Amino acid sequence: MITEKSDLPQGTLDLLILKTVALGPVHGYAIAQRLQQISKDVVQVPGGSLYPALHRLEARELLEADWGTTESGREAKFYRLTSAGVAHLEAGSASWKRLSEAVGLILGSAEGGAR
Amino acid sequence: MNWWPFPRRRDEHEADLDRELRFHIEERVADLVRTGLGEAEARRRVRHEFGGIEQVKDDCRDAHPARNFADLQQDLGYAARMMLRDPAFAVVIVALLAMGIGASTSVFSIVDAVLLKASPYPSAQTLVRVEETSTSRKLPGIPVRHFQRWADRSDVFEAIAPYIRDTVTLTGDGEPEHVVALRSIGLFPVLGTTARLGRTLGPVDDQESATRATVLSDRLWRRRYHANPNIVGRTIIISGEPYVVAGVMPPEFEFHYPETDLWTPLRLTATSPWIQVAARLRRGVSIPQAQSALEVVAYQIRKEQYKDYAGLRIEVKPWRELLDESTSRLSFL
Repeated sequence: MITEKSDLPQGTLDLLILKTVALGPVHGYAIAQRLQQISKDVVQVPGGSLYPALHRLEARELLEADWGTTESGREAKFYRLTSAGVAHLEAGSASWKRLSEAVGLILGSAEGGAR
Repeated sequence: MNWWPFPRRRDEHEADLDRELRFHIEERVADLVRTGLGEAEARRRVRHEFGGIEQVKDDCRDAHPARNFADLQQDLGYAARMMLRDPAFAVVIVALLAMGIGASTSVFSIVDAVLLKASPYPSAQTLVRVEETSTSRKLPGIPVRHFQRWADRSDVFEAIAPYIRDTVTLTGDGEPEHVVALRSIGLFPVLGTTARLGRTLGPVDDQESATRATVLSDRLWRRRYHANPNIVGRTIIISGEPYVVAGVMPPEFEFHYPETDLWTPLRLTATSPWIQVAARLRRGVSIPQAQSALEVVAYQIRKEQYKDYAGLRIEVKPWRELLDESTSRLSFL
């Protein structure tokens, strides 16, 4: 679970949000739900972390927001990616992949060495 | 109906934020209710998940520094328009603010000068004043004969400065003039202050054979000598005796008698008038320790001269306390 101070490395929550929003305009509540579903309940973002992150991304113009109506007819604030957001997501995903592979290599080799 | 006198944009941001968070909470509550939870329990749980809603709002606002700056600009613009709309009112308000700020600044200046900068000497905590008190009468100072009994206590004091206040006559360079002189031995080393021009008085000047030297106050230097930068080295006549000007003190320097215009060496003899004493405690010696060292001397004096000095005490006081006495009359502020 991602707590207020976030157990994930700096910037990871931003990346997860951008990826979720990339699938199409979506409101905050749906972002939290999708993160939880896709990660099989591993990633749970409380509102106290999610909304400040969304507003930060909006202020950095990686996201933009508009009011729209949900399927159930309620008004909600929908976020979507800007072109800067798309670029940021691509760069961020690539560097995350590189890092996680590198970490995996190191952890794997340490395991082998211990044997 | 927009009675709130601030620009609308901030209201909109606030309303948006409120709506957005409320939507999240309502959706979550509805989902929990759908799983079979009672509504009250669902709300309680969502509140717990969410943390403090005001805190979350604050964090969201902080995410928009540019927006906050824009708000400030709008507020300033609004303020300017309102002031132009009713200039008389604006002038009154500005005047009131000016008076308020002015009053507090002047009070602070006084407090700053009197209390906060009250100790202009380095390491003020080791600077002390030695006094004699007696139950039989009030003592205006310390007799030289008493002082000489402990003047060599270098185990207690790092430096000792006896001094007297004297009124002298200045002649030459214009009309004769009475000014206050402070005659002392070793005062400047005890205080640790330096001159703004030339030098202060030191051990050299305290020797019997030395040429008489004097240090001028900034005030006297400006008034009588027209701030002459070449005053150092000149000879002036103090009560008929020639003195070489060694230096000029900075304007903020004052010691014990603020009206002092001259400092000269003091030649102590057994018949000198009663003296005042300032001293610097040796490192590691406390005031009570110094006090008890002098009590031995006081005890001897009480025994030998019991007629004149019954109940004599020699007291060591922090210099700070003396300053407080002289400033307490300002306490009506």
